[in-house]
Amino acid sequence: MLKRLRTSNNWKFFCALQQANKPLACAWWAVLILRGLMPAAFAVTMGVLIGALQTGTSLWMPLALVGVVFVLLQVLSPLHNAIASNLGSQTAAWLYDQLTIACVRPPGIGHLEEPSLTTDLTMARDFDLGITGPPLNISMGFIASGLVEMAGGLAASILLAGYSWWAPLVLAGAWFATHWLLRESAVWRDRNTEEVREAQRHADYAYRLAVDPPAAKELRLFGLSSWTVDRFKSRRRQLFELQWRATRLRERPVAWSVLIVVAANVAVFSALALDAAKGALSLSQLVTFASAAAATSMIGFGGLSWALDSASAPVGAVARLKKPMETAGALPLRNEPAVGMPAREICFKDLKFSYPNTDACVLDGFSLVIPAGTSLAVVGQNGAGKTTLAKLLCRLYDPQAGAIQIDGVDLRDLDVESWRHRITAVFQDFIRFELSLRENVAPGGAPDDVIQEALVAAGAAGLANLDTPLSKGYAGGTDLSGGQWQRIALARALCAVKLGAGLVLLDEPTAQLDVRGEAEIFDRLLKATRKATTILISHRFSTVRHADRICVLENGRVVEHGTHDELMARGGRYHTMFQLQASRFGEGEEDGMELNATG
Amino acid sequence: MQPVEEMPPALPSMWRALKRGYRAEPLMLPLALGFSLLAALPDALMALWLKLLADGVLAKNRRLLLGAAVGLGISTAGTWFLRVISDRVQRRFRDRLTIALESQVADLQASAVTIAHQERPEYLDRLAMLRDQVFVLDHMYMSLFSTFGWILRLGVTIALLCSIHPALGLLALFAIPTVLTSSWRPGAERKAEEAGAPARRLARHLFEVATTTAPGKEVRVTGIGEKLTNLRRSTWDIWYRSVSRARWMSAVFHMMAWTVFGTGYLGAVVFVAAIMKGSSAQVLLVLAAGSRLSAYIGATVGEIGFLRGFWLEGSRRLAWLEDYTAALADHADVEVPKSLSDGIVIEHLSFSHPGSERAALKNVSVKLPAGSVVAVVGENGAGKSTLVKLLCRMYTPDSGRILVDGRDLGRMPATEWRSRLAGAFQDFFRFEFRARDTVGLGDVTRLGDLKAVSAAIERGGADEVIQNLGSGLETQLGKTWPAGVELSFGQWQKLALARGFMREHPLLLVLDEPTAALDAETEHALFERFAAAARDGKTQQDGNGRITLLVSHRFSTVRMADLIVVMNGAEVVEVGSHNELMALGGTYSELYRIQAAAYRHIPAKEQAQRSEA
Repeated sequence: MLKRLRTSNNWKFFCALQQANKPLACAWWAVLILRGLMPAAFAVTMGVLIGALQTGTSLWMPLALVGVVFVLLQVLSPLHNAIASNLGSQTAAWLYDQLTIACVRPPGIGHLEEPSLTTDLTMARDFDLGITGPPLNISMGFIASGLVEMAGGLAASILLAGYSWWAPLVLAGAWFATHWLLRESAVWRDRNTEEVREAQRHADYAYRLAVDPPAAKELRLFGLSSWTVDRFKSRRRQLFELQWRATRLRERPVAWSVLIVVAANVAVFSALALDAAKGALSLSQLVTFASAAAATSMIGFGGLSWALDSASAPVGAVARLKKPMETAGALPLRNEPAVGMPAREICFKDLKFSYPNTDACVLDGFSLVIPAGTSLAVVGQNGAGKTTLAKLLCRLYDPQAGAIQIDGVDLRDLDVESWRHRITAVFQDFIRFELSLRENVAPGGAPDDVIQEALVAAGAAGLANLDTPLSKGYAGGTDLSGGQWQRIALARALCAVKLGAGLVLLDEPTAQLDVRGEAEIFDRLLKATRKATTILISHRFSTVRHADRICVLENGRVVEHGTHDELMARGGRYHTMFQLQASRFGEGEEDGMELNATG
Repeated sequence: MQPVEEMPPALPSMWRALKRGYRAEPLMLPLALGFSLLAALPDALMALWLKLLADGVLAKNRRLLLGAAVGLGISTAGTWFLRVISDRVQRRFRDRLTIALESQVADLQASAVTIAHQERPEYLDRLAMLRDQVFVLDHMYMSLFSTFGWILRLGVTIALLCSIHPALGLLALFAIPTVLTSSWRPGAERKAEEAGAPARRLARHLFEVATTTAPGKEVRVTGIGEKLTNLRRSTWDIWYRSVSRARWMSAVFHMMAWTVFGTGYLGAVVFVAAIMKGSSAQVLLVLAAGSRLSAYIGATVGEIGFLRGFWLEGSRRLAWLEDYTAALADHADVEVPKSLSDGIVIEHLSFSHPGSERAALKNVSVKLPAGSVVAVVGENGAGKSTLVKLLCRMYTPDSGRILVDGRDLGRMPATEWRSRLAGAFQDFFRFEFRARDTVGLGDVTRLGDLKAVSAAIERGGADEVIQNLGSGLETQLGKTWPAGVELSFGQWQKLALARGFMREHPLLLVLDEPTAALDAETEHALFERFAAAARDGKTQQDGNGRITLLVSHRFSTVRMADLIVVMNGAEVVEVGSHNELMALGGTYSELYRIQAAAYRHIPAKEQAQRSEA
């Protein structure tokens, strides 16, 4: 029983309050209890005042008491509201912190992609946006008022014990019985079934599709608005029907509840009246106990207790996520330092890799040696595993078989952080921080002159002041075009090189640049990364040919490897692909542009 | 810069919201209201029963005593019972209404003719609440109904007080400060909230960077995980500081206001007990009714606070969105032509993005002949994508017009015009559905038509993508879905292209840099296909004069176009065929030469430099 309580979401929720902000949480509880005592206290002071009236003694003391209790009754609730909403915000922030840490800390990346975790992760990530229920700063108030009622009812029933031992038992018992009788209507127990989750996720996805900007253009081009809204509506309706069916009030338990509650109340109030008629109770006592009896009703069933439940769910989700995320994102850690690596070479040995939970082998027997300080271009069709190669080099995953060796040391033996210090990467979906230009170029920090140099080298000089936020959503902010962002991403890599990174990974770094930009940037890029080992992934053969060596990736392994000239001479895959792009230039050019293979 | 229009005033917005609720649920609305009023009655009578109880004791009237006791018992039970029932009825009403409201919000945003509301920060801020907190809007009905319930209770209670002495009705006046603070503070809190909004948005952004997959790679490589965590928290703290201060201030003001009421109440008790020398029963009535009064006032002003804080805002925003989309709605009186014989003529078109001073297009005039392939080239930011969006009617031009076979595009129904378009964008959306739907959505009328879907997949060169999927066309796409499969960027792009090819006979096919991430062979095959399709459009008997508009940086493709439009700095600078433009020796020929040169020899000198390094 105790164990079940401890593992319940509600328990975790109240623990989370303590951890989020101890003083606020204590104040919240203290005011809650004080508020709970007030109805009973008011019943007592009422009795005292009536008693004084009856006996004709001085009224000042009883009046002062009534005044104090009454004012407290009033002022505690706005105070409690402020505490509750601030505590709610603090708890939300604490949960966000926990989740951020759980996501950021594991050295691997498997935990962010693991399908069995994504449901919980999505729920936890969006919990305070008010999509599935009110945000915590609001629901804390609802939770508080529920608990205040319960405490008030209990305090009143204890006061009633002053009248007789059986009255509170009968009355409180009857009110508690309503909870038991209507328990099925109180909480939606099946809210975590697959059916519910599925309806929820589809409804949310369709809703986001309709209201969020990214899909706006295609939604209009293809006339999808009503399709999307209908889809949302049907899933949403299904969800509400499920909830309604599960929690509707059932007739018989309601009838029983009413019967029990009426009987108990009439019994207690009649007993009070009869005793008063007999003279066994004075008027002041009668007033106190009758008020207490009435106040006991606060114990009764209060409806669907959604507030606590919906507030607790994300806490449970975060707690549930912690361990499996740690496991899924874990990498076996060793601590060989990677200072100065790669100094000699990077060597892929018969690498085999498939993503977790998939059968398809992305890399299958991939072997290659890259001498340190040279550049390598990787070409191949979409989905050939080029980006995966980059991810493996960053050690976001470990291969299933084979090894990557840096200067003869297995990548798995190197200290992850120390190795990643040596790398910089521009991925296709690089991060666009809504932060200042400075922080976009050097997220980890760098001297201003280094940042400026990197910006110049990436052709992004004079784009904006270093302090300008790169998003219109902030004061003084500015929006950048796709091409401008790409230059920022390149500057980020160049800045890292200047700070000492020895391996540069570029995944389609010029996809969004225009002609002039692409031509110009490459010369600069090559110059800036001359001392580093560079791996370039690209479909642009105009770009690829600049690399010292080129490898053609197909079906997860290297099918061709050599310099541009060697590969052109061989007349294989590379030759075919290059010609496809090159041939479309210069057919019938008057100036006789030479577009040849052998160079 | 265009100023942002004001939101509609509060009361009419609220009225519109009510009408909206009534239209959506004409039966449930009165039922829910009725129950919340009914639930108010037994509760308000509690003070009366207490007084009668005292009367019974004082008069030694056993029957009165017993009657009052039974009344108390039934009132207590009845209050509870009606509360539970009315809670359920309201919940049912709200659930239904939520769907109606959310659907409306979704529909308004998804079907607004243009997309400026999705791009302009001021609008985005305004819509954020509608987007994420629609639940607030259904809460408003409950809030409104309970307000009526509390007002009814107040009336009964004040009547009871006045039955002792009419002057006691004045007690209600002491509640004025609470009404004042309750109507002022929520606004002040909202202001603090808005002042902190950028910090909150940034915190959310950082949170998303830290917790989503795609940025996860870079976060690890750059090792900024911990920094992100701390930055997120400190940014959030900025928001919290301003908001929590406002909340504490509210608490202080509310407490002061309630102290005023408490004093008035005490005065009333003193008045009855010491000055009027009232009976114990009368004092009891003042005590009980007065304390109820405060509870009711508290609840009423609390609800009003809620109303002001949330749903007044919400309903204003919704009313604004309605007006906004209605203003954009077509005044369409021109039909979309069945086929093109002349072409699309763009006349003196100018446009700047709302909220931006820089013109995105300046006085652009050009003719796109029917049955041709037109390429638009230019450097980043030259206005190419804006031109495409204007042709799709996703913006309204500031001046100038677009004529489709001589008919004004601005006067055609946008949805109908768009039903004759097809295409793909550079920033395509990753529709995470089953693969067949992800493609099929390109022509929603043939969503289930597997043959059409397969044909489109072939046209988009995405056969291989589908073949590699475990369950083929039935595969769920997107890693976050159960059994969902993630695709690479290029694979997604091929599916986006296939989607763009679902409609078979569009008048205008727009391809806005659709091949940036495609491999060489696919790109080549695609271009061959464009060229072939274009030739067909011209020669075929049943050709509808389709225009293919291609935005590209790849001059190898561009040169195949019948007409090339060169843009620079928001203006059209050159128009002509490849040969004409090469002969002209302007911007186009310069850009072309730069790119062609990249495929020529690398000069020996440079090669030597490279190998030395």
